[in-house]
Amino acid sequence: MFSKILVANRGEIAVRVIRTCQELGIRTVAVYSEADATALHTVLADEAVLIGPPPPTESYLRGDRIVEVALETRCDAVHPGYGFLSENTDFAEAVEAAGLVFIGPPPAAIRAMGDKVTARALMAEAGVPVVPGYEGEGSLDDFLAAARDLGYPVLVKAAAGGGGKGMRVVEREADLPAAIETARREAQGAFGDPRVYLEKYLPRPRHVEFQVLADQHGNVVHLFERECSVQRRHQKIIEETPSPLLDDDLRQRMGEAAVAAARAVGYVNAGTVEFLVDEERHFYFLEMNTRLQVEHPITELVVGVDLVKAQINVAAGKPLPFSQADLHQRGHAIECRVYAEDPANNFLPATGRVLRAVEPVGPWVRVDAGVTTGDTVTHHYDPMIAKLIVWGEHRLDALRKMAWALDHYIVLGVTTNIPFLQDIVRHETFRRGEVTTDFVERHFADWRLPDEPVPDEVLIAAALADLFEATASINANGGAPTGSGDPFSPWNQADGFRVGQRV
Amino acid sequence: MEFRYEVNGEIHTVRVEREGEGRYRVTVGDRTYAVEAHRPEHGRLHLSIEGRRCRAYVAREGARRYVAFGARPYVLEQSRGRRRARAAAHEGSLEAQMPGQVVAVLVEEGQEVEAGQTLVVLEAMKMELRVIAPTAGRVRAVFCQPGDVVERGQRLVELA
Repeated sequence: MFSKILVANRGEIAVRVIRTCQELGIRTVAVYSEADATALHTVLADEAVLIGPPPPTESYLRGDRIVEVALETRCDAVHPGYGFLSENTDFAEAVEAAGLVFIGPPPAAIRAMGDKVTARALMAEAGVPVVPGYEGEGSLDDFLAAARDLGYPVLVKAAAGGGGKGMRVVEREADLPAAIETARREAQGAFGDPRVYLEKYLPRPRHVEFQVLADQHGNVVHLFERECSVQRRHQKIIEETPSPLLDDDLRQRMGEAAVAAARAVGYVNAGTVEFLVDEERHFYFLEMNTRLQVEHPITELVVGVDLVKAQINVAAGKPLPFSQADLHQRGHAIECRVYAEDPANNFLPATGRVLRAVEPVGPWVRVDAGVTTGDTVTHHYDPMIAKLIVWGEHRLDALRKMAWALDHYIVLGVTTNIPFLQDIVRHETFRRGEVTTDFVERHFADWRLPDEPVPDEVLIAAALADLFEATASINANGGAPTGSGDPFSPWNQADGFRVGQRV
Repeated sequence: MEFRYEVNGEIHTVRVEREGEGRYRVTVGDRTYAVEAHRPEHGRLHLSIEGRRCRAYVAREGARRYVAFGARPYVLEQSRGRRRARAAAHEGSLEAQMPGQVVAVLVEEGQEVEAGQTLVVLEAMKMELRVIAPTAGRVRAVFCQPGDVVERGQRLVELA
């Protein structure tokens, strides 16, 4: 087993990985940018090393520097988290070349799945259905001709992309050239590879993905599905498992396809095979994410497996401790992604300092937070504040618990999507489990905060808070002691006394 | 003491009179309440309003007062009494819709542009946003250059 792991990430996922390492008695090294000097992951890790300025290209994407740090701090493995370098073949290879273990799939599997064009070809070969598309590297005219054949709308996607980054829906031919240009630029910026391809846009699909886990001894299992159809800007905001769409037969066929997909690329470690399911319940391979997924916790709750622990054990060469027949779904889990963004203004990212965050606590409520009281959301990184995850005995139970948890999640100082999430989990279509990927656009396009009068309680609380603050600052400027009002309290002394200091 | 707050363009006046240790008489508009309250700790304010107990979380940044009550956050602007004149939108000026970094400035001063033409490209969190000319016109001024970090609402380009 490893004795020390470098976590090449930030935010909630770095925190989540470090916590499991702590449980397993493995020491950890965090890396951080200048913007994250006081971030939670730097505090939790046994060691933390500054790797550069805030922009990811100068810090969290500096694979060379991160490998150096891993060697300097005598780590024996690197966990990449998700995003950043997690699906970067060069990084995985550099880690291995340095004699360290990459806690993830073999570089060849990342490369095969990372190039969406190659992946589509491999899947078709392995008998896994793929969405019709155009994988050409031809001229703009070739793209225009292919799009005409496929029929609009089409999707422009980055060959090196994934997770909706750099993806564009194009409704008509006139918009295709600009969409390709923008997608190429975004792809170059985000992945260092400007290649794009076209895919037929399936009307009203559902997004259902399967978690797979493979060890180094040829065992591959799936840990069932996650339904991720609630999306905005093609990025997931709510996920749940089991999917209300699947029955046992479809679940079994998709699970087998997911295992076949993993086997086709010699996959090892945790990965996710994403499918689209159309209105006739046909499913198509979309892409494979060769890393831990943001929404992995819902699988953990329903299947009862710690996926990060499994990743570490697999990377250390251990065989999977279960077979497919041992795995079952129990109850229902839902995740909501809490973002600093304004749902009433195109979901544009919000930045600023979180003045106060109070996370909900209760039975089967899990909060994987990357940002809490005192932290700043900057424009450099993903604006996710936390993942709110609940488990219930059945779907309705989980829905009620999520509604409760959202109502008790307080974030002051930055605009968040919590009120929006509250409305979604109470929406009739969502409650019926009939959500397709266009759900947000169809039902929440003009969403606004309800224009209700401010309750008097709020105005009373504001005025009293201001009164207390005003009186505290009057006192602080040379009146009676402040704060507790206790004249004997040591907190009110200003004579330089310090705990632990020699008197 | 009297406090004035602006919420959604509406002004609310709240008067607070101290009646004893932890006891206040609070008037909101024409409604008066007997309130018990103590100095908040960790932003948590316990209140008893006409004998009904409730809890709010409070925070402040500058003139902005935040209150979480029930299941909702509220933002109240402390008002100096007169309605603050909304910064009148500059005619023809285009502002950043999100905080981020200027990736490209595609026009220069004096240039004629067509409606729909991209003027500036912004990027934040790997998302690209194009600032587009709403109408045809001439670029009167450019207020940003590539690499600039801009705040939401900051002027980028002015069209004549």
